[in-house]
Amino acid sequence: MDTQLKKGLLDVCVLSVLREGESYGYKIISDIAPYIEISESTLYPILKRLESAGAVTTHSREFNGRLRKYYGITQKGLDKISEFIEDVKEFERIYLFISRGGEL
Amino acid sequence: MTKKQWFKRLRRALSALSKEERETAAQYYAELFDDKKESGETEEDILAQFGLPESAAAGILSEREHSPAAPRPSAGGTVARWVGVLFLFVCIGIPVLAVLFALAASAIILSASGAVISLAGLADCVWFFIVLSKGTEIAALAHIGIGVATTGAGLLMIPCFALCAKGMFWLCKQSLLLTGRMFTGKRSA
Repeated sequence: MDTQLKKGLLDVCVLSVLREGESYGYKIISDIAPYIEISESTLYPILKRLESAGAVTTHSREFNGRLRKYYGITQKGLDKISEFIEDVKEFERIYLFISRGGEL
Repeated sequence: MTKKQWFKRLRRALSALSKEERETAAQYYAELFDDKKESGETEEDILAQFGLPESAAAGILSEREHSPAAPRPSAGGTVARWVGVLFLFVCIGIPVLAVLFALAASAIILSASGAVISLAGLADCVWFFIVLSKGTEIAALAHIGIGVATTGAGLLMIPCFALCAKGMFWLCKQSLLLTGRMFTGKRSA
C-alpha cells in the first residue's frame, strides 16, 4: 500500500478506536492490528501528529502503581472521521469509473 | 540488548530533541513495555518488536521535521545566533576549556606521580628488608613501615587523580557539546 495513503488510513483508524472511548498505546495497537499493519514505532508519531492537530487530547492516570497515558478524541477528531467517510464515497465513484474502463 | 540499554540508546538517538520531548517518547515506550510485560510477553520479545532504538528514534525525528509546528529559524536569526555563540565561546568557552584542560593535565601528572611514589615506597621496603636480613638494625623496621605507607599513598593517588582527570575531560566534552548545540540551534539536552 502507498505510504502516504497508509499514513492517512492509520490516522483515521486510531481516531475510530478512540471514538469508542478513551484508550492507551498498547490497546490502540491491539485494536487496530487485525485490520491494518501497525507497530509501536508507527503509532507514536501518529498520536503526536493527532495531538498537535487538536484531534486527540491526553491525560495520565494511575494504573497498577504506574502512570499510563490515555488518549481521547476531540470534536476535531470526529470531524476528521466524517471527512474521511465523505472522501471514501468520492473514491468509490472514481473507483467504479476506473473499473468500468472509463465508461460512465 | 537489555531494556536499560535499549532506552539508553533511544534517548541518545533522540538527543536532538528537548529533554521533555525525549522523555515523552521514552515514557511512551516504557508504558508499552510494561503493558506487554503484564500481558505475559518476555523482555526479549518486546524489544524485538520495538526494533532498533535508532529506527524508533528516526521515525519520531522524521515526524517532527514534517510537523508544521516544528520551529524553523530564519536566516537572520541563525546569523545572530552564530555571532552570539561565537562571542560567548571566545569570551567564556575558551578560558573555561583552557582551565579545564590545565586541571586535567595536572591530574594526569599527579596520577603519574602516584605511580612513581608507590614505586619509590616499594623500593624503600625492598632495600630495608635486605638491610634487616643482613643485620639487626631496628631502624630498618621503621623504614619498612614508611615504605609501606608511601606505597599505599602512591597507589591511592593513581585512581583518585585519574578520576579527576576523567571528570575534567568530561566537563570539556560537555562544554564543547553545549557550544555545538548552541551553534546548531538545537535545544539543550
